[in-house]
Amino acid sequence: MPKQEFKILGFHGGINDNTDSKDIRDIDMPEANGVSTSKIGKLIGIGNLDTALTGLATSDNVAVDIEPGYGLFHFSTDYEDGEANTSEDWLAIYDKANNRIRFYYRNKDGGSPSFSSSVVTTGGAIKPNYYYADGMLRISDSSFSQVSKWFGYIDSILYWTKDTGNTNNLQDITKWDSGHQELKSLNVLLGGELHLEDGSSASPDATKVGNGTTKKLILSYWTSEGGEWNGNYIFGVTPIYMGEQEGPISTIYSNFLNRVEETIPFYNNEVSFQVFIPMGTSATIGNETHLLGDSRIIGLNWYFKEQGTEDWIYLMNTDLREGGKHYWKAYNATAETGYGYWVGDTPGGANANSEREGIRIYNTTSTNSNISFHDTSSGSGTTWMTDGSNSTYDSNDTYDTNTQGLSYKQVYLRVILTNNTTTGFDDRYGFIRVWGGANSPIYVNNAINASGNLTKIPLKTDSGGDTYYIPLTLPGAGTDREFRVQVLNENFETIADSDIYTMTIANSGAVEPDDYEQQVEI
Amino acid sequence: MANYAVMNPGKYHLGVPFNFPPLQNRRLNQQYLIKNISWKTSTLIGRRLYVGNVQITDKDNKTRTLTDSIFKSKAGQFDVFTTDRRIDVAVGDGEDIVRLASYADRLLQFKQNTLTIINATKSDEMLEATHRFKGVSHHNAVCETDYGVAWCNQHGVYLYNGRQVGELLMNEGVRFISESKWNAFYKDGETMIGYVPQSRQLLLIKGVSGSNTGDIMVFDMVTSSWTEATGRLGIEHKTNLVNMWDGKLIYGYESDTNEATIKPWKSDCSIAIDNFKVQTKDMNFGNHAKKKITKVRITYKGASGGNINVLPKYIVDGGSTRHSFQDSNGSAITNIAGNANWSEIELYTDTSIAGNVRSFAIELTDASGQDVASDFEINDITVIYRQKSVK
Repeated sequence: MPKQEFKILGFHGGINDNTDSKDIRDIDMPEANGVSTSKIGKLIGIGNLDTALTGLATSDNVAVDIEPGYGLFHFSTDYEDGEANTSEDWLAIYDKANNRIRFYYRNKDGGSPSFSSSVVTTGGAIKPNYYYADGMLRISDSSFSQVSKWFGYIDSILYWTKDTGNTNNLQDITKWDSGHQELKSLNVLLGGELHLEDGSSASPDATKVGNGTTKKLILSYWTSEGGEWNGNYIFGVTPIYMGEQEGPISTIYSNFLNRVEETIPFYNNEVSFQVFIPMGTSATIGNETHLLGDSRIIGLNWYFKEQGTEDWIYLMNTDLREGGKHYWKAYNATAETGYGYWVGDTPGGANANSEREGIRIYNTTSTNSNISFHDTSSGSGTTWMTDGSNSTYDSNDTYDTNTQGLSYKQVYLRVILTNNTTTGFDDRYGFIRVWGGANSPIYVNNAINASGNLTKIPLKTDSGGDTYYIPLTLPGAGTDREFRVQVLNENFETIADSDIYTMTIANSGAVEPDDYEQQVEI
Repeated sequence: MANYAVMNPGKYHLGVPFNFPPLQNRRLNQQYLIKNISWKTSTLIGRRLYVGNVQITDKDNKTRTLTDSIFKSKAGQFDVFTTDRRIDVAVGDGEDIVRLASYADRLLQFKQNTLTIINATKSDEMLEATHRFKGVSHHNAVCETDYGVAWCNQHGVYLYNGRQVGELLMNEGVRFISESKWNAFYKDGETMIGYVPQSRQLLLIKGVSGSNTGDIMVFDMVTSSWTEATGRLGIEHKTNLVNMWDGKLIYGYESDTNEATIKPWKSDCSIAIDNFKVQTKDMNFGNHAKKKITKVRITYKGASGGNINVLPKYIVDGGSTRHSFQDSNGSAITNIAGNANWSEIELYTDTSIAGNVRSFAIELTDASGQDVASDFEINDITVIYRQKSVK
């Protein structure tokens, strides 16, 4: 027999020690220790550990006591350790000896990897299990000894004061932070310091607000007539955490220790609410501490329920960032409790006979006390009236106590507004609501003033009052037809009311006009 | 000194008005609220987080440990869990959830003995399959790869690819790794598995503490082949395995002085190899007739300027004795000289031993306890023989 060659050209079958060695494939090996079969046609050495990560070699003396089988986790963030908005890679490393999670970071764009000064203290020995989602690392103790924690970068631009909130706001919480993962209730976070305050006559004062040492949340409320709130109501609030995560509800108690719910009685009321969060003794807020005790909170949901019922019903949301249409404002509880309260003359005051709550619609220039209607927006003309002897105007008709209006006549109602409050109404404009015309009510957010110019309705008036001429169609004929004027603020809350005044309307023979087109979009 | 507050709406005495109580608004439903939760394992599927084997504190401040339960978060709300979003696949079965993993829209629930595959495509999860003896003893026995989910237990190594569970100790229905070898390697409660995406390999580390825990096994997912390396890693306390930012598989280990080091695994060999041992099949060259083996030629390279530190030997007829090769002068070969380029070495047998044999195998080990050069490579092995006439 001639000599023959038998070639083994490949080794990529790897170990096969379960079959008789004579019966395995040529590429198989009963033993393959220390080699790799990843390359077809070649047998090479097996891999090994590479050099240690920079700053993480034994020689770097990084004190970390390892819990075998636990502790390491990788995640990436949009913010770097130095807080710039640049991507960063992280390794979480559990240090058993010191009961803490340490963080090693590496900037994707370069820079020297290093340990962060940020740590998460675990409170005791744990066996960490991590997950990372939406910029937050969560750390659970899989031995169930310690509570779960979170770690992440907070970038909260809170309490906008203008639409340019990125540069006009009261607090920027921008930092690496950590804490309990639990979405705690506000009663837990604030120790029961949730309060309802009656704001009917004044906003919360310095005592109620406090100096900021005690964290609080205050819901101020006030009522006006004409609403449909009837009964005794209880209020509660939930915190909204990042990710629109709603925490547990907290009831507002009058006695937190004994859990006595605070109950507010209403009867045919309209109710308004305003939120106050104490910020300390300065008009600015430090950027370190969230006023409600958890950096993740970005909003509040308010709820109510009638006494004796179980279900909490959603009332409103308070956005801690933009704050809604009117944003946020720093409020001085020591000096500004009366700001924003409309004050007009009261019965018995200087203009008591012709004015109610700062609204005058009487013609006090005449000897009578008739309502001040005019033919023109300059306050002249009397063709709208009759003396009652017939149903038409003639030159003999005079403006006196017998004056009657003519039905469906186009007139201008003169309204004089006098707000004696000098503070809290800067750059604020409201509405005038007129009742009693052929179309009623009508809403006006601009009118011709005493100078003949069309103007908005500022809530901050001149000391002598602001005069407006409001176009109106007189109603159909009848005795003692009622007229009434109210001042509304930006939210259509009634802040002043002229009360009801009457005038008899004679039948002019005119037909009812088409519906009045409102000047205000509601 | 004045006291301040932030005020909303941000105008003085300007409230949010309500003419009537908005009774038509939604009711707050927190009857299923979980205040606090700790978990042993978790996995993300889409925008939902699943946590398993949990301890919860409910709205009434009752704390319960639910070892058989999975809870899922609301979509995008990764800290919100409620008792009505609880998934119980098998309760009271004497097993606990050890690990959750996911691949595509499948949720894998590993208990000690049982694997349950759950279809999480829709809002309501559906049980899709249950596999007995496919559970794991600890959380590090599972890893997620771009091929699927891989795991190991006392019975073997497995891969779920989204359709089926494959057994990696078997190839085309034939078991490659013997039960004894696997039992010798696998350490219950400690053996870790990780994925090396650069080389498409699974790395199994024997243990996280104690003796012999530096042993590894490697499964190459491209060639579907296994190799091993005894003592390739240290025996220090090790962390779990994770893939870091560049995909490299890393773990940390601790020195005697509680100082940590973190190193990535790399599949290219750069450190000399201890415990090197390779054995070819027991070659009978296609028949069981007797042969005379005269020479073996190995094409190799590595260890330029020194020795490779590989000791070649041969085995005849499946025996236990390792016989030394000789050079052309008849001297026993105790090492192989290094060479930067591919070169051949001719190894001669002792014809008194290999002159009349039915089968022949070659074994390569490290020479005299020296570590084998890291760049050592073998391209092919050629055996020259003459078949004898059948008598």
